[in-house]
Amino acid sequence: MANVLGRGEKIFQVVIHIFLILFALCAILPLWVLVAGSITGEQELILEGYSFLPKSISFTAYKYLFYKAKDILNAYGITLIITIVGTVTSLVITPLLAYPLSRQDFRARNVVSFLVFFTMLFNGGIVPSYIMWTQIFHMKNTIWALIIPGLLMNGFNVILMKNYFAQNIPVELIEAAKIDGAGEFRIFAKMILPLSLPIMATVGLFVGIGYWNDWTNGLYYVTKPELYSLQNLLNRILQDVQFLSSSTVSQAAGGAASMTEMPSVSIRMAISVVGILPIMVLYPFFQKYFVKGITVGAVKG
Amino acid sequence: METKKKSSMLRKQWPFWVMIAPGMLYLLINNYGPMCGLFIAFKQIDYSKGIWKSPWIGFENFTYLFKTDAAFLITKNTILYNLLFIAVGTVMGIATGIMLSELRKKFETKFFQTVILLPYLLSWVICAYIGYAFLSKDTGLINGILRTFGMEAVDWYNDPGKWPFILLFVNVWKGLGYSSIVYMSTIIGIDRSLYESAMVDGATKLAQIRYITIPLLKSTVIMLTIMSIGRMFYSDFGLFYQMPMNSGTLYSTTQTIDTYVYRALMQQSNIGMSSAAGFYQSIVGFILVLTANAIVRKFSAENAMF
Amino acid sequence: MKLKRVAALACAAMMTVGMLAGCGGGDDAGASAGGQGAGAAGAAGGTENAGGAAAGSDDGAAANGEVEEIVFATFLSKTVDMKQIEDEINKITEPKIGVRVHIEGISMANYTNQIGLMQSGGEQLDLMGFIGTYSPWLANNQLMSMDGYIDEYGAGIKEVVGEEFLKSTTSGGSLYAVPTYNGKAAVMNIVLRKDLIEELDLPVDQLKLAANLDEYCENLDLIGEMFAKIKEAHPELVCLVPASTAPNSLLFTRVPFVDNLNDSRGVLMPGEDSTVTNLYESEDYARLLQYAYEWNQAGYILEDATTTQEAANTYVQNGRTAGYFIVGEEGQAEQITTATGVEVESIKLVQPFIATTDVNSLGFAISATSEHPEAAMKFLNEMYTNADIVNLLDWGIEGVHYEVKPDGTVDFPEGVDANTTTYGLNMDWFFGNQFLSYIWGEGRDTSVYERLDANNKSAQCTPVMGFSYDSTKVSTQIASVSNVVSEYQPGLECGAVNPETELPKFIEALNSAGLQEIIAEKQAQLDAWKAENQ
Repeated sequence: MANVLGRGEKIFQVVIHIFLILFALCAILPLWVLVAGSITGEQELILEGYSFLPKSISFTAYKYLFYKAKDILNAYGITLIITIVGTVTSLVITPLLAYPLSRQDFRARNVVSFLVFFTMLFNGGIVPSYIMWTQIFHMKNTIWALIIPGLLMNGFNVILMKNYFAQNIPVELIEAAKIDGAGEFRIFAKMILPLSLPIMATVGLFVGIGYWNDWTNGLYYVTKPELYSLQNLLNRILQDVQFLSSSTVSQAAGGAASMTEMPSVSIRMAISVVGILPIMVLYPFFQKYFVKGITVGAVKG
Repeated sequence: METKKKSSMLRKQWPFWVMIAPGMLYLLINNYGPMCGLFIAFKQIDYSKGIWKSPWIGFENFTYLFKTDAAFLITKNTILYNLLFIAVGTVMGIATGIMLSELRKKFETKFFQTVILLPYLLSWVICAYIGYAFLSKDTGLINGILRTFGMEAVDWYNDPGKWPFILLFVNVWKGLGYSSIVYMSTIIGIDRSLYESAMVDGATKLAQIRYITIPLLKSTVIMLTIMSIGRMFYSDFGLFYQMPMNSGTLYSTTQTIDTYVYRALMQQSNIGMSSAAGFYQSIVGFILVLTANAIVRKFSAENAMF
Repeated sequence: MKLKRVAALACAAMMTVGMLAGCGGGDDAGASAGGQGAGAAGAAGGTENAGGAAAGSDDGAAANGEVEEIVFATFLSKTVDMKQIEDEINKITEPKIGVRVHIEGISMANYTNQIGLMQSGGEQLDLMGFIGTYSPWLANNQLMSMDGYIDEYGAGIKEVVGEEFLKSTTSGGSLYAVPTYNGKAAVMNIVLRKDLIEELDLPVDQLKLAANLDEYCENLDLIGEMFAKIKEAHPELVCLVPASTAPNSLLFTRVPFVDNLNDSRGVLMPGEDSTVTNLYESEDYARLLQYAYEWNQAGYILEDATTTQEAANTYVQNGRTAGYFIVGEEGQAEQITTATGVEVESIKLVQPFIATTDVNSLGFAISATSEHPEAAMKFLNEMYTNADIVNLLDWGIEGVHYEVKPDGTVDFPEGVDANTTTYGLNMDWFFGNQFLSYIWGEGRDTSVYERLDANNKSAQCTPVMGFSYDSTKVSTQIASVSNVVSEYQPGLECGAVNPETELPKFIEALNSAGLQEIIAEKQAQLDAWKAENQ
């Protein structure tokens, strides 16, 4: 494998590095602007505008958030719980559903595939969902409301996995295992899953990000501050600011409402940095397993 | 009571049913349950009577989507942007996925993958603030640079002609991490021996990509494309509403079905009308998907979704 | 081999979980337990509600025999825990009126949606506040008529709010809501930095309370001259920034003395009391847009006026703008100075004119789904007559969130400030009768409520006070027109586009979107209303 690189190969490596560095810059530069914006003195932002290297550095925006540290830490806790519980559960039920769909000998596979796919096209909207989760399942103001509705599993991930199974797991392998007398569950657990680490890692990542970033469940189903997840808390601050300064309110409340304290844009930027910082810190750790999963899968040949 | 054959088949099938049970139960509750509520689109909701007893009004909730001068514009914009995003997004996703999988040092893979994924983690409101930091006329970075070089400032938020490019860029920027990972996971799953034997035959890197990687990505591409086609009449609200800072002068190139519906219903809270919009978008998507799937089935049956 | 891989996978999964959990530490466990506890409490609350007074009677039995629990939904301008306030309120209301209130604080941005969800889902909801949604809620039958309850349980409200203002929430002879009682006679103000007024000797005292559009335009001419002076002396400053976003507007282009009949789609022009016309087609509107355009051309207006997301006060605070226009009442300048630390003057430009929506834009209503309307009304009555309740909602708990200062105002207690307070909603303009509350900010003028109240009583009101229209029949046209307005209005009203070319386009687009049909429908409803009420 590790043979000497040919000339073409070298050029190829240079070219992909150029492109990837370019993409990485495109991704990082705006983020840098975000971070710089959050630590630029408010006066400089307003008078001189944004810059890559702020002249005056001020942590006022973070100080504002520091006072909310208790709420924010609590919200981190909630977010961690729902992300872990949700992702683990999802990684159990998603492959379990996807795997039979990839098997040519599962007779109902077309019907079930269609039923799965159909859920991606139609949704009943928030009103019936809300009624169902709050009235039948009594989830309002419980932590389950942050885990179960909507996020636990989606058709996209099922189909992604099904496609992977169908493509990367040779039928002969399954047949051979069957001849050895292995049952379906044994085959699934001992053979399919280990061969599917790349897709497990991928779907796990997507589901995890989904939980981390979700704020809509919290918005609809939670009114108790101790159950606010991080993004829910941050988004409430951001959206309420937008609403508070909107013409609806200024028209309704006369000038009075405009006197309510309103975080400036640099604070709003700081808020979002707080929202993604933990991912930037934690993701490389997680990625160790992610890349491992991918490489473990890769040596299977 | 049962024939032998049938019972033996059942014996073989039951593990599959057990496996899919939890997932299907979830879909049944989470997705199919609320679908019963689609009828709201045909009702005039009267809260004192409750949803069930509110009067039916036929297709009246749908008229605002069609009986307007904007109907053509919003449909056109939604479809054209989707086509553009599917085409460019797929090409960029595949290219980046391949590049990431070709990196030789593990830490490089890790680094680039993390970095490219970062924008995906930002909410649209924040993306809009960042966009504004670049494009604002008064305080923006780009105009700041233009001014230092003595050039005229550009009024980005009042120039609709520039927005198809901006929106395309932002869409790719935000989604590239996600789509490249999807493709990368497929590429990584490809049997290495295929490449090794190709190398023995003296195939160049590009030839390997052209004749091994891309053909093997075909089914993933088709699958993802069919799924995107199902969302052909949807648009990402955050991208089209937040990014242009709700600027009125840009509507000709930024107004889509979703932003139109949002602005239409801001003054009136009418869940019948908002359900109607969702219903319309879903139905059209459904028809498009069935068509696309039928075409795929005709040409390469093994890639059809169902 | 296979086993090894499985082990690796399991290991990886466990380590991931372990690592993540480890980071959270004991905090998670606490939060999780809290979550479950909350769930249990929620469920218990549910059964209690279902059981109604039966469960509650244990507590209040001694005093009143029966305590009813109501759910009071209100919007929050920030994320705070209402439980603390709720407990204090219940200490007062349970013995006094036999009502226990549960305050459901809902995020502002999602408020209207959430109320619709709660009502359609059959969740308990008795009393709800609103901002600007009175007429759609009325049209959707989301409100319960108060007729059977107001006289018996809400006499105090009637007395405080008064006949004239209660008209604004009356429909078909029935009362459906109660407006907040605060300063209603807000008018267009120009806010200017005091240091600039003094430095450039700006003739602000020549600005007068305009009684008609001509006088208002004279004011604007004068303001234009002041802007010119400011711009000349301080070219780095702008003179105007928008004071409201989504859509962004400089506000001064609102034609004075117009009754916008809910939504500005079809209005009564000044002096008119029966014919509904198109505001955007009027000469008055065009005249005001001309100012916006000229001022923009002269560089008085912030270049990003149509898109900025910063609050006007942020611009004042950081020395970017000389001022802005805002709709306001007495005490405005003091409030801005407190908020920004910059001395400003806020000068009223027109005489007050109160339209129906100025009154019913803020208020409280009983949900159509309520099973405890009497209890809701009893509690509402407290919000208009009991200073303790009002202060709890406005400022929080005495000694914790505020303390009374020697001059009769209230301010933060020692060791607490705007950042560290656990309440600080600052929504005194919302909860019931504002004039019962303390005035925030040591050193503020405490006579302001008397002046506000006097203005309320003396202000000129619209000739059609109480007319609210039901837009359901023209909802298709409204949908279309709303889009046209949000397309053209910000550009025109911030002066970013030339009204000479753009205004005709705007008008044409409005007409083709069906504005005339809306106006015709409004006219028909107004005629019917007049026949019935006048």
